[in-house]
Amino acid sequence: MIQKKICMLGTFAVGKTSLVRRFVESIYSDKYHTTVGVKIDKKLVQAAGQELMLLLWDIEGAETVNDLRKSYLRGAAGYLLVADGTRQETLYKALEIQVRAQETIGPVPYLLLINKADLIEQWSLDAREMEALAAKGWHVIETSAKTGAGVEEAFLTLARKMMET
Amino acid sequence: MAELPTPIRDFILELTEDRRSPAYLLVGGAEGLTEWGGDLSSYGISGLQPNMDVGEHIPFLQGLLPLETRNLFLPHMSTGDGLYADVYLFSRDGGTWVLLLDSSADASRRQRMQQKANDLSLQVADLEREEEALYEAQTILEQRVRERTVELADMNLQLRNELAARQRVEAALRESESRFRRLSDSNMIGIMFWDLKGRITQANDAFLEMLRYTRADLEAGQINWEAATVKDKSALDERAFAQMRDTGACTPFEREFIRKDGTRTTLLFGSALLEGSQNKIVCFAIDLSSYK
Repeated sequence: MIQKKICMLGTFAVGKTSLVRRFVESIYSDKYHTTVGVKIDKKLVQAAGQELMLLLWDIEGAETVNDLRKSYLRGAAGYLLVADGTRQETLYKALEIQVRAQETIGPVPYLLLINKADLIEQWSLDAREMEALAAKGWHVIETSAKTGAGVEEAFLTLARKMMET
Repeated sequence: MAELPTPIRDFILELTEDRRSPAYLLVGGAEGLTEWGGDLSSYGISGLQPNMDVGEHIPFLQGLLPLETRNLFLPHMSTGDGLYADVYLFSRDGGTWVLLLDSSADASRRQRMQQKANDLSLQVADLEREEEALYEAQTILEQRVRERTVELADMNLQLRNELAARQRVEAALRESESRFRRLSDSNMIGIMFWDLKGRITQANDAFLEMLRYTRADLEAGQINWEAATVKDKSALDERAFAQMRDTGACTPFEREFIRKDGTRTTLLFGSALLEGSQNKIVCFAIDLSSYK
């Protein structure tokens, strides 16, 4: 069976663990629990007409881009950058992390997830920056680990992209 | 680094074995898994077979083999049930060794510290957002107060102007009333007020004298147009009313009146509608009998 490693990247408290739990176990908790190190989950999906085992590396949030441990990224076939829509600075961190990730593992597929869509009325993102990212060809998906909105789409889209490369 | 004495090396080894549950795998080149040992089951690894593809069997090794660097360190990898391992991969003697050492205690300690730090950061971010929202609200409020103050100042000025204009009008009205009162009280001419129902409501002494009525008669409502006038045969009254409707006043004309005692007298009679009224009329009268 084909297996692909996916890394969940982003600063702390953006919802990386919650997105994985929603995708793998279909559960959500409001309580914030800091991830230390890395936790690996698996989920079998269908992508490009084949069974694909996704190995989801939920990596601890990086306060700065230098805190991101490159060793966790080795062997990844793709990654999901996660930002919190209610905290503009988490988007900037995600953009920095993307640069570091690309330096480490090369141009593998990735998506930008703007999480906490259930709190969209509290979002503080600059619309012009989002438009600029879209213009650069970034694939951006709005997600909510709380409601599940966009979660399945995000993982399956990345799975499809990884199978295409 | 100076070579450690054997007792020290042995002690470190015992300490590691005792506290960190070492376990290992050795992966050859093409031959796959060649050797393993230690308490691998405590890290959730079991079912190993010689020459198996460990990348397929052990999820965290997927994509890492063959090792591209001399060493690779994966700290605090969760192995389930709250346990963590520090994972070291290194190449020696043609194979890749994978060493797992329990790091649960350290990870737990770090988790507690990191949780506090992150919670604090989130609280600070929340406070900053609230402070920013408050600042924005205060700015908007101050702007509204400034705008409202200007509006109120304008309204105040307008009210002052209106009040001054009203005071001027009232003063002019008082002066006009005073002049009229003086004219009426002088009794040089007869003045009376009546309405179109024929009721004479006010009259000065000169008018009452012209028709030989008393003030008591007036107050008792005993004076009215029908009783005090001779029936108009020349349509003068009609012309006067038409003039009053058109212009507010009529040209004075001679009119025959009936006194209280039944005798007749001719008065030069003029009238005008009171300002803002369609049925209240002020009249003056001059007794022409003394001039004839």
